Amino acid sequence: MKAGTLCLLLVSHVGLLLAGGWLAGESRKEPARVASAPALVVLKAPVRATEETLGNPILRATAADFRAVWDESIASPQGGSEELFNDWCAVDPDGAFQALGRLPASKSNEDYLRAARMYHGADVAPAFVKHWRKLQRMPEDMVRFHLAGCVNELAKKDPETAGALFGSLPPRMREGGYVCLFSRQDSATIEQLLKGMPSLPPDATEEKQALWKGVAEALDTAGAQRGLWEWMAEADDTVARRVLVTEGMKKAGRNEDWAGFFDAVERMDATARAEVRDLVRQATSATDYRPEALSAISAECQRHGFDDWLEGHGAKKQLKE
Amino acid sequence: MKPSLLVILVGSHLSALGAGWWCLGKRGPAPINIPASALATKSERSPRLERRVSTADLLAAYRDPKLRDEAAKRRFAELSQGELPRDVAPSAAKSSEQRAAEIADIAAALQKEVETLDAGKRSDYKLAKALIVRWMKEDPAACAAWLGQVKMRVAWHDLWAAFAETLAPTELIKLMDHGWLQRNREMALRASMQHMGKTSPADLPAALALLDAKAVNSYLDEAYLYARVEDAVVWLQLASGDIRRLQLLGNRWISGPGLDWKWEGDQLVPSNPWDQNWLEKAEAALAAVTGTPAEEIFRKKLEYQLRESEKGRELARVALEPADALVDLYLQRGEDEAEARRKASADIWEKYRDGLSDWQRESWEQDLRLSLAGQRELEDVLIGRLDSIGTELPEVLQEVTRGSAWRDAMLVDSVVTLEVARQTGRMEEVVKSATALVRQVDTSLSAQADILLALAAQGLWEQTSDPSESDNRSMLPKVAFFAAGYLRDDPEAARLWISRLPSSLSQFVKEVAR
Repeated sequence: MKAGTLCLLLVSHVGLLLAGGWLAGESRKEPARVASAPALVVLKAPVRATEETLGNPILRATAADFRAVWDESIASPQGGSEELFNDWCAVDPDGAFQALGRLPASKSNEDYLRAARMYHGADVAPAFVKHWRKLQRMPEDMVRFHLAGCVNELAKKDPETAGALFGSLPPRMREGGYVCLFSRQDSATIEQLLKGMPSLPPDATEEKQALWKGVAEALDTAGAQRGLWEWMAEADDTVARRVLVTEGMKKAGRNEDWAGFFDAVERMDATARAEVRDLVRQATSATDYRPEALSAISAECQRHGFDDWLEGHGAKKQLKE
Repeated sequence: MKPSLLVILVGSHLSALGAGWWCLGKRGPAPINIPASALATKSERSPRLERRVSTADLLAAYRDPKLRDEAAKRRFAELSQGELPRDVAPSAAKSSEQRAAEIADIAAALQKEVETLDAGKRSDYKLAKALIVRWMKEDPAACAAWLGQVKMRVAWHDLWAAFAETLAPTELIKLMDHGWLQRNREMALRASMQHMGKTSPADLPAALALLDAKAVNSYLDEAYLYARVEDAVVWLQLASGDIRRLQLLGNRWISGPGLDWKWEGDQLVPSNPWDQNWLEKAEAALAAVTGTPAEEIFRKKLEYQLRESEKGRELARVALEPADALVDLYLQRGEDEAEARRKASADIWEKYRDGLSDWQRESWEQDLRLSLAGQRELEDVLIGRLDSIGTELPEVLQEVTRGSAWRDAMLVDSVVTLEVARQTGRMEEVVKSATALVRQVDTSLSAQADILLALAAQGLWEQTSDPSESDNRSMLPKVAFFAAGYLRDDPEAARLWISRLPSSLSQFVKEVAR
């Protein structure tokens, strides 16, 4: 064989060798992207892992990296950093919340909790519930407010789990948190939340009141008028009924609309109705309803055949006069 | 060529290709190696225990405005999506019906916000804002039409900010020109100007060219309010010849710490971190206008700011020295003695009222963090704080500042705190602080329990079994009452706590429980 031919053959072989290598590299890149795609579909927020973002240490840092930097930064005069904590929460809420427990009392502590609730809400709820006791140097009201806020966010995604998480807190923590927990949730979510929570002991009256006040407040939003009265009609617990009826009357009074309220009362059984009668009597004699409101209530009572409901009130009024 | 040679040649070339595939493909530059966990959601991402970034690199990244900005942008992007209610969350692939349904959902959700407001309830502004961003992405015209007719409400500024951030300013103005924002054109223009001022002044000329002179005059100031000195060239060109707008820029770029100074160690620094390099910024601004008519405006501004911050610095310094020095300062400015004294005491009062319990707060908090991290002894830290309060603060302010130190230290370790108080002969003071902490509704139950336990160990929390003989002196809760509450809240910790109480008290608790 001539030297020229040999050279040509060598070059063509080496060329193809390289081409093979390149092709293999290309074809491996594809499946890598495709394989991770299903994870992206369920993403709350797709993480753009481009080379550009991967060049940023903040976006690459692991739980261990954040912990090391946190330990270093709390020794500095400025103390920890809200940004750092926030980024740490994204990869390791457990570690981040444990770290908060190692801070002294300080005005800036609320910044951390606020950032966690605002940026990560639902995602940090389990870690927050797990570690809230470690935040013993922070004001309890503040911790409760942000904790319930995170569980509230979780409830929008998975109400039953959120209910169970919230139910695992001690009564002192739950009681003040119900309003936050239920805030702006719809009827179906509230139902699921309650399903997730362990039932309260019969004697936990104060807590039950707090719970149902929270529910009533959430239901009492524009367009949810029917929601509140439906819940009232279906309540099977005396405390729940008392709270829902009281709130229902406030709402009916505010909107000058008693028909819905009394329609709901009509659907209750006799025992429940007797309770409502007492509540209506109490309210009408204790609250300064305007004469028009009283006559509207009276008209509704008559329409539903609750003729004697306002008698006590009338007698009292007459006595006063 | 013989056929057999041809077969050999083709075969050998193919095997070269195969060999390259096999050998080089593996060793060649690896495909971007992103672990699945990095792509998963936050909750799905399991914490990685190995190190990927060195501590120094990560610390440096948090000091780098560009990298921080990138991280902040991503946080914000995740936030905007995260806030969407489930029913309108974006899905990977959707049909036009799905899309229409989503848009209808967004519109309905926004309408609900309006109704919530009309019912006198609080609206969720964050949600409303996220809905606007989403809607603008899906169908800007429809979103603008909705925004254009809606009755404006207090604090709906965010909605307009969201609107302005979604499209290029010129596109937004074209939307307005289609009549889709007639009623709220003003809000839209204002928000768009602010957005351009904050992010892209270079886009302003093109946007302004689309507006009539009246609109330019009314809304351009909004953009100036956000002008950054880094974009000085663009701004100065825009404002050239317009004295009023040059003044606006001067106000924005030349702004010193004024009266807001604080002590950091033995150095006085501006209290607001933004002001740390104000002079640098101001000088850069001045350099940018040198030789132009604006130079005079900027120079005067800088002189004024220098005087103000000198005054502020002096105030902060003399706040810790005899007031005479401050009086002298006013005397030097030509005030008469009485007026100088009045002003000096007003200044001092204001400064002190801001809370000298916060005196050198930063280094105190740092010391507390170090002692919590086990790097310093609380005892040393606390004694150091008490010493400096005693030597550096006027006597009249010492007690209140010590009170807050006792409370902070008590929350770190109440036993050590009490011991330091005993050593320094300030038991009465510390018991007062401890009692205040325990009685404060906001103090966590476990912190209360710790403090009570420490007090009990020193014989400072005693109970009488006779309920009529109440202990008015200490105002601390009754042990049985407290134990019952603690047992309800955290039974395990409470039982341990009871067992650690001095025997007389734990006996008492057990008897009552029985």
